[in-house]
Amino acid sequence: MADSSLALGAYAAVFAPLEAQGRAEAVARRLGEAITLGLLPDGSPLPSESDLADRFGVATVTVREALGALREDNLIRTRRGRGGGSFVCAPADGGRRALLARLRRMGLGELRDLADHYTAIGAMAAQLAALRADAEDVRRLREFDLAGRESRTAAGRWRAEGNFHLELAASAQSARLTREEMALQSEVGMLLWVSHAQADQNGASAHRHTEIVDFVAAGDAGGARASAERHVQEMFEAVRTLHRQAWTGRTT
Amino acid sequence: MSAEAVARLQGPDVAALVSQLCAAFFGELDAMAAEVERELSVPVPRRSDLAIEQRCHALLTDPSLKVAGAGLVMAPDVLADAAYWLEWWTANPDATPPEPRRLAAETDPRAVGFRDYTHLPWYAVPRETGSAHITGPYIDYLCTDQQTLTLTRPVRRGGGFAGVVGFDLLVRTFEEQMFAPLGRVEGACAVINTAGRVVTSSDLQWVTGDLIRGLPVEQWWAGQPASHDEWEYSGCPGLPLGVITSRSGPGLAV
Repeated sequence: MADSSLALGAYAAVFAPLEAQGRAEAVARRLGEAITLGLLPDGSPLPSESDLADRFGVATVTVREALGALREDNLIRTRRGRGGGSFVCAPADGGRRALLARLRRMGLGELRDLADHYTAIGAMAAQLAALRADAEDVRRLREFDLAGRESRTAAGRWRAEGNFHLELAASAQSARLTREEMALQSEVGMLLWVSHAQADQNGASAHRHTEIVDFVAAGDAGGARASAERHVQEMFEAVRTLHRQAWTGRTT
Repeated sequence: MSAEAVARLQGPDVAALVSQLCAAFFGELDAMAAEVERELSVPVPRRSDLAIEQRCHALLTDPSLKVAGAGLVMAPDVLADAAYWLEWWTANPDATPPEPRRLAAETDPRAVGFRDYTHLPWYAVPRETGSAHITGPYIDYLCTDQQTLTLTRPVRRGGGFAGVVGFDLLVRTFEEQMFAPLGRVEGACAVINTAGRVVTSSDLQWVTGDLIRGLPVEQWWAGQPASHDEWEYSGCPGLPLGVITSRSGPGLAV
């Protein structure tokens, strides 16, 4: 159960309290993405409405509205009575349709801005981690790197991808970079990971993780930074490829 | 100058102060462990036998302790009705009053959010050594969201390891207590952990979370004599922490 034993980072992000205006839309988006990414597996029960309200820090009526939207999108099914509640319905296409719809609402400039933002956070985290990570940090990073490469499910790879970068930011000893990484993952994690999975059939991402940990273990801040920059660049190249497909309908 | 009236401190003095400061926390942890061990002494312990919530609330709202987290993490298969189990409460120690909240953690190993905590140092080290441990400074993104020290000690049942009880302490809270004594050391002085990571320091070059490489930390923790060109080492009695003082501190010229 290597997959499920390493998931708390991404899972915690799924249910972390919402900033500022906790709205039904935001609750629906976060749960919808977690379902699409497979972080909440097909058929699994969602926590109760009051539990969800508690975790997101919103009113129960807001959660009810969000669940209504998810039901309309066929991402959950609700049963009444004893043993009832809301259950996850994973989309059969691995989220491709939902992703293309989302990309159709985004411009190229917006994508580049996101890539710049993620580079600023991810590359700085890698650079500082190379200066500050101790043997225990490196051991944990290697564990997530391995989990990503050994995972047989897409959800397992995404969890490992998310956890790897969260652990990298934590190894930089920066609470702010770690919070930014977590916020970016919950905002654009799905976009990056699903696009990347569609483009990256040969696992270049996991290879990049190994390269980053090697630089971190060697204390090579410049190498770690450059490698993390290439990693973000590769993920966004995949996003831009899918973005073009979303607009042109072409598959190459 | 009035500063002249304040006695200078040496490395070992600071190390003793760190141990003294931590002793207050470990004293509370010992009491908590004793309570948990009592609760676990029934023939078949279950989750409902554990009753540490009130104690954790009291600790989290005690203004003299300023802890950011407190709780219990069980070893697998000790409880009859849960393979894995943890009860942990967190609070912002600077809020008036702090409002403890139960940490939402997945304890069903089949569930997606489950994380096997038995490999994490705040659990694994007390299990392996049988004694108390201090983990960190680390960014605790699951709990406090800040630079944190986690103090844990084992609880036992029938002579065997049954889990840990622990506290989260914000590094900032620890620093508040240490800045004044560090300032009384001639030259640079830092508190470090077993990896050579800075907990707090009076040296502008090294700050909390930095890793000082090239220190003979392994020999130091093993109690073997090992000298370093730049730093003189004093272990904190009973703790996986030490104090290093600069051999060529600016104060020497005075």
